Amino acid sequence: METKLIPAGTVIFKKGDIERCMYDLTQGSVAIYADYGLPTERKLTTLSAEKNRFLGEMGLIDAAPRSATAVAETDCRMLTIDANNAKDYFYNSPETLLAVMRQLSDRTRALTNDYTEAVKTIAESEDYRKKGESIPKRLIEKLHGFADIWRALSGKN
Amino acid sequence: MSQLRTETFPKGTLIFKEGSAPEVPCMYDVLTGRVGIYLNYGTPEQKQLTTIEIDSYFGEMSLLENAPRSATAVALTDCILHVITEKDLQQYLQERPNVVKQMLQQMTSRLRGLTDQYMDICHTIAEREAYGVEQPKDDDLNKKVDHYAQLWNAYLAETHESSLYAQQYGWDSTWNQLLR
Repeated sequence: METKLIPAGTVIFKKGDIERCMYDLTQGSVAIYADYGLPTERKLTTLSAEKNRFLGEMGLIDAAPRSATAVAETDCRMLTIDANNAKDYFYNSPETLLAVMRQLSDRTRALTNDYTEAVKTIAESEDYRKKGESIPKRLIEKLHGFADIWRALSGKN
Repeated sequence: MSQLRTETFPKGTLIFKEGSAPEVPCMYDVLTGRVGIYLNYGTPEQKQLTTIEIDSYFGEMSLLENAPRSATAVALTDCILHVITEKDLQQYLQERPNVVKQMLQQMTSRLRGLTDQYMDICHTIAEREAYGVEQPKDDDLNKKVDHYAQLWNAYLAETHESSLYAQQYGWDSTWNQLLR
């Protein structure tokens, strides 16, 4: 399996691309953007070889379109794992299988917490509304944060 | 001949108990029989979350997160199970690639589903925000806001601290309800 060198600034995949593969980032960092290249561009997160080394792992598993754009933030080294070499890759380094599962599991947990927080925030705000009281600033700010996430990810700014 | 370790559990045996921490984190997959997954097993609040059938797996959270068992597993029939620890993964992948694939697919579809739900609630909040202090004149929107507000109250009324891990994996019915 070949390690590719990707210069800083390279677009690795674009939102909407369908590619049945994932990347194992062995060096460098990659930024994930919504609306990349548009005035409304927004960086959603940064992945690094040390912390979360897999990029696009869901695409390898279900081949759904990429939900955001990935850009090399520094010079990067990465392996491309696709349907042809996935079995060898995981078989030769079974710890990567566990690592992919752990990354999926961590993201599920983080998103579950975010979702729960959003449900709770709506419920609390509606309580104030129903009592005819004004919604406290801390709740308004939280609501605004959730609305911003939707605006950023849906491209409806 | 399989090199994976198997264990036999007669009907009614406790395979692991909620809250316990295995010495070596492991998951199981079912070669024969059926396994019930319970919260608060053996108490008046006992609740069956799901049944695990042949060629499916359970207890993966312990393997992935080194966490205590989030639920109790009981053999519903005589069972033969594979016991999978971290060092068995390579062998497991070789012998049971379809179960590994199923695990990855389930985790991925859970994450996709959750992402859709999260986007829906953020969308609802964004739409509601546009009306400010006014009551929206959009009945569908009002219904959605109410729906989410009620979910929280239902969730608060029923949830148990012990089920927090199970919730993340869609096992808890209350949590399933919260996730629509």
